[in-house]
Amino acid sequence: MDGHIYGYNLPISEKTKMVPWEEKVRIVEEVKSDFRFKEYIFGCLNCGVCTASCPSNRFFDYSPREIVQRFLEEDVEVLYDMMHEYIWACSQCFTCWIRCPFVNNPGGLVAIMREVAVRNAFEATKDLLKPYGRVLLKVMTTGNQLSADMLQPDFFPDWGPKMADNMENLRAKRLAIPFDVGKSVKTAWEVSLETAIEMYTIWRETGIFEMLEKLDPNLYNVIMDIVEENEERYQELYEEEE
Amino acid sequence: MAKGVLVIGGGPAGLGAARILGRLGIPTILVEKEDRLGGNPVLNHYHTLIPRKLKPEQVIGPYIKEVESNPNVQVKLKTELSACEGEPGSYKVTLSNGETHEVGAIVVATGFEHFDPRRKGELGYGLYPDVITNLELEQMFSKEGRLYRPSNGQLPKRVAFVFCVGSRDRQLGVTNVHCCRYGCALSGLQAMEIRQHYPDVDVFCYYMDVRTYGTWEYPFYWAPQEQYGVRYVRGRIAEITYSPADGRLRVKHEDTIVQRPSEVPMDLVVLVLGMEPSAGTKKVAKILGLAQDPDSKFLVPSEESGSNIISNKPGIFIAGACKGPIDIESSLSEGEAAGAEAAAFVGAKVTV
Repeated sequence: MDGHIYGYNLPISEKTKMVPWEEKVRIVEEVKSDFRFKEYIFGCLNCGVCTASCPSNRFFDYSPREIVQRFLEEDVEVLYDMMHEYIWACSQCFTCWIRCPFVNNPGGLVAIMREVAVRNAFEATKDLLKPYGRVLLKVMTTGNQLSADMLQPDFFPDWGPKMADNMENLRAKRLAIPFDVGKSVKTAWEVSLETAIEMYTIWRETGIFEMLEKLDPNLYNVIMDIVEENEERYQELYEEEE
Repeated sequence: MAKGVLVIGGGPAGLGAARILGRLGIPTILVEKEDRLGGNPVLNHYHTLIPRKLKPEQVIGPYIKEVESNPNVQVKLKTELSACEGEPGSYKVTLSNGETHEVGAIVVATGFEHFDPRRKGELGYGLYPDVITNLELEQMFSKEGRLYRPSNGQLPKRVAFVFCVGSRDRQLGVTNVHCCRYGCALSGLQAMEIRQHYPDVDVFCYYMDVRTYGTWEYPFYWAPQEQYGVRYVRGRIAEITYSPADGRLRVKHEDTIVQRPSEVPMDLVVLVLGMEPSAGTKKVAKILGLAQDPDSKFLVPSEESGSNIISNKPGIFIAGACKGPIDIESSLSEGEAAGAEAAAFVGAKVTV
């Protein structure tokens, strides 16, 4: 049994065509069985308020109305295909949700689709995550997205030529910040060991580490080295106190 | 059993009830909180009424005249119901002027209010002078007899009608999820009036779907398009902005049939307002213990009766826009039906 295809303006990729039908159904069912799904989609009148309000729609081939329509049509083939490229144009601003007269949440549907794509280690998510490896390393080990020493001129060329000046005497500049947690160079703010350990516990319990292992084994190894080192340090401190 | 009937509200439904009660010889008290009879169509200076394209004075004028001159009907202006005690057949009502009366039955015809479009901030009403309501357009026609842009007094080149403002909208909570019923047809009529008098003005109607139900389909949906060249675009307006560069408005929408996002310059934007129960309707529901829709707060007819005008309280009849959006001729008819039911309820022997 094959699914019907409406995608005259959204060609199904050759890759998607090769995937067994059952696998595509499984993925779409995983999205639909998410506990948030039934709160994110109701009826749709095709009024187009979501798409007219969508900032991504101005620049990309992305329409929140189409997301809702594909789910209502249960268009498995197209939904599966969308999860590889189409949905990643959404900026997750949720204007679609706050404007929809029937309170559908296309941005929320996209969030679920992305999570399922990551959990299933889609190639697309690996490619998308590649440029963010360094940021991910920082977030997962320190809870900081960016740190002062990451603001290198060659790292963010779009930030302009002034960045080089900002990086001079970085250490002294950071020490001049008038509150203690802001003096760090390797993080945006100091994170205590206890806080870091609590965060690792959350990553572990919610399956984030497992997810990362599938997506990027190298990055996973680097992160786990730091995590384990910190956990050992914490253990030693804890034992000393006892 | 008291012989009299109290009619609450002097709009189309209340006038319909009071006129038939007067004709049947029933002693009737008609209370109206404003200082004149006629309800929204008269007090708010509607221009042309759907579906017969008559003026309010042509449709409602004869009712007002007859009710005011019939000795069976006492009209009490600037008066509201403030309390009610007693039983069906003998309701003791207290009015806001201090009077008390005993009546056998009550007709509730407390009507609706126009939606306040300031609640939809993204449409820019109150911010941009050239964003007006369809009520203001009616008044522009009826009071000034010409079409103009409030910002500069000049004739607009392009006019947009924005359907469903304050209707069919869950973003406003549960209160405004219903359809206003009149908006599509009235917009078709207003658009035709503009095209008839100003053939060079382009008129656009932005809709989700067009609900010119029943026999209104041809005169208010096809005629505007086929005879008057009004352009219908499927797509709800997402937001209205203003461009200082050319002094015109921008309406933002997706043309959902050809799947094209657009931002179109407009000189005048008309918001098609939804209907909400009036403050009087909500107040009277409390005083009389009438059943209300839990979401919209409109009155709802008795669950046991198939009739639309029988309330959950014996001897109390409900008519017109207090029960939800309705057109004016149906309001008049419902008032007449409620009046006839009230007359039957008080057991009046009708003299011919």
